[in-house]
Amino acid sequence: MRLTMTPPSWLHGRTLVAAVIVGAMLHIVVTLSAADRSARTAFDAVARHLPVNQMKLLPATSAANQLLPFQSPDMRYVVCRFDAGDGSIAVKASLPGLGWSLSLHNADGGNFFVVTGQEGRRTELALLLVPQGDEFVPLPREAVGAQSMAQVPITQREGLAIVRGPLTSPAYRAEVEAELAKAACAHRKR
Amino acid sequence: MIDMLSLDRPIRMLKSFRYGRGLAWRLDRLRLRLAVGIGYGGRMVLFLIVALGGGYGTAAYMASQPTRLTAERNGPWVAWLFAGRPDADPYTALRFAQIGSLPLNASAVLTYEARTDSDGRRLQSSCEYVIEGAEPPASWWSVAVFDQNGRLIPNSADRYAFNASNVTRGPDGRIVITLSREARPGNWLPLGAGGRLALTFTLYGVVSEVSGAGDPSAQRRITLPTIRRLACA
Repeated sequence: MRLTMTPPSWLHGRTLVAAVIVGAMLHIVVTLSAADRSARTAFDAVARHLPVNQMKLLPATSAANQLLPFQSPDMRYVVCRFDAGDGSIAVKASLPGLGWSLSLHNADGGNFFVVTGQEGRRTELALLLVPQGDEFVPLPREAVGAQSMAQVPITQREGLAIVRGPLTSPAYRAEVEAELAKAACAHRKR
Repeated sequence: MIDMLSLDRPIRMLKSFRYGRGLAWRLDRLRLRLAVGIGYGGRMVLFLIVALGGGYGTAAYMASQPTRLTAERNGPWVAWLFAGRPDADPYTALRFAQIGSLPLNASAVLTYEARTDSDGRRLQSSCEYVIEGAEPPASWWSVAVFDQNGRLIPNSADRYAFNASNVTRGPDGRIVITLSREARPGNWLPLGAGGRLALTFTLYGVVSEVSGAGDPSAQRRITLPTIRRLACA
């Protein structure tokens, strides 16, 4: 007796449809979860070199000294790793001209606030980073009187405040560093 | 009838050696079971290829390749329009999370990236290139050269970028920047031994001068310098 059986088709339509549906679900899960898993990569790479709630001047960027991929090499950076777990964070910076910027980043890298320097005028900034729910904390006294002041609500407890100063040539390095040294970051307890 | 396993011959051989109908019947049944199993296995392999390849593959593709949904092409330059934005689409978020960079919000500072020259050929450190054209309509800009992973390329001049403040302009106001391993007169960016290259062109204040943030038609109106290959070693 010889046994026979109709074979399953390799290109069975239902198999393909099921595979496409599972593939689509996998696409969504992979996209969202991978972004979430690796979101703090940049924050962690920078944060481990920094004290909490203090501005720190990073070394000049070079091939031998580069914290992050695609980090602009013609900028000097002063960075504050803030933690607003116990109150708001006061950030002060001065942007003397074009190419300068102050940016605030969530721990997942999102840049939720940025100010760029303007031609021919200095931009003085005094910001109070206020955790959600603390929006009515009054501005600190030293912030009052600055040309620009703002309460900036933050949705994540941790993040980075970065001031960038453009390096046009090594001759201006000390001048740029002196401007960056004016930046400040301080914790304000509730 | 599946004829994927050529067991007929060994079965006939077994019969001819008079091992008995019982053993031949069992071998025949084993052959069928194997064939059916492989048939189902084939379907499973197909399922896994389509599901895993489609799921992972398309996610990786969308995060690595600029599409009309996520990016804007301008010659060889590509800008991810939602880079750095807290409300970035998942592909843009995945891309920059995987790269591990901290881009500025594209609505304020637009960063273009080029991995090919204007003729579509991969940028290589063994070649010599010229970036030339009119200055972009930005309040400030910077051009930098990296290897394909975004690392700066070591060079004896310790020079990696030119910007609006230190570039030397031609008499007509145009900019010409030469990228090569050997020193060149004018605006020279050393390449070193970096293999494949990535250039970034960061524009400050361009959006406010042209149109609103994230408006693809606004980006298209910007004329960016070309990248021309001169020679390769």
